Amino acid sequence: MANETIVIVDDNATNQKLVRIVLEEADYTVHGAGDAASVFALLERVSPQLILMDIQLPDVNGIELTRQLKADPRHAHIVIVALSAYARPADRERALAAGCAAYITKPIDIDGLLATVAAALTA
Amino acid sequence: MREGIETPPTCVVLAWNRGAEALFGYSASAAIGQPLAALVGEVPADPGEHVASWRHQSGAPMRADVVMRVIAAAPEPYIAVSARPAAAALENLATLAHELRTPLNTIIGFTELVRRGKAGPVTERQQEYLDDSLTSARQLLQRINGVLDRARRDGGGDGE
Repeated sequence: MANETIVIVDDNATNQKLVRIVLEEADYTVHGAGDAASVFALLERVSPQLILMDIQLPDVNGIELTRQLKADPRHAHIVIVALSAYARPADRERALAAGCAAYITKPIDIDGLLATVAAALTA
Repeated sequence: MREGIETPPTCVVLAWNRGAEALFGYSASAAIGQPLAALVGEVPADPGEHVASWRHQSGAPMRADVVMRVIAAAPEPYIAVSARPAAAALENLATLAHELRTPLNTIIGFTELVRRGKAGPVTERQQEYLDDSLTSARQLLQRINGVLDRARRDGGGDGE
């Protein structure tokens, strides 16, 4: 399908670049942000269907940022998928409890990431 | 799982279970008969709970929560020692794993993209070498996950 707009939130520029290339290859429109402040600034001008959310960010962590977005009527409809190098079951549970639709661990599996994103967009 | 290390008062190891093997690296056959102090470091003198600065077989330092009990009812008195990684050590391990997985993400991801021809045509030999790189990177990832799984089991905690 594709053509949907996705925002990647990751403070690691190389990781952000990798995920951007993978998603652009699949015909998504992609924007990147490195911290929570940039996410809110970006959402003033783009309307993504999905956000790929890293958990460890320099300002507000991804779990808290997910809660804030889900509590905001302007952004609550955006599907959020966590993408983190933390792989503890408790990390996954926290992310899902905060409102994430799915939890992907790094290192990513390219086909798995695309399948999870596509499924989250059609859910 | 806590590992049982049964020692007499002289602290020579009498029994060494699989948990102890996983935590300290020594096999049961290598550990039994050795003074505990020679394997892991200074052994607390008193029964009760201690935090000990012990070491792995590799020499790597490890903090362990240690419980020592004197078993008097046995045919000969001995000390049962149980140990697990200290909570702080588990947390450090989880952070270390996160820091190792982050660069592995780009190593594996970009190698995979090149191998799939996303950066231009790939010769058969290039594809073979890229596959070798991917195999090694995934082995490294599995080892990181394995170390963490083992520490989590031994510690009974929620370390990554």
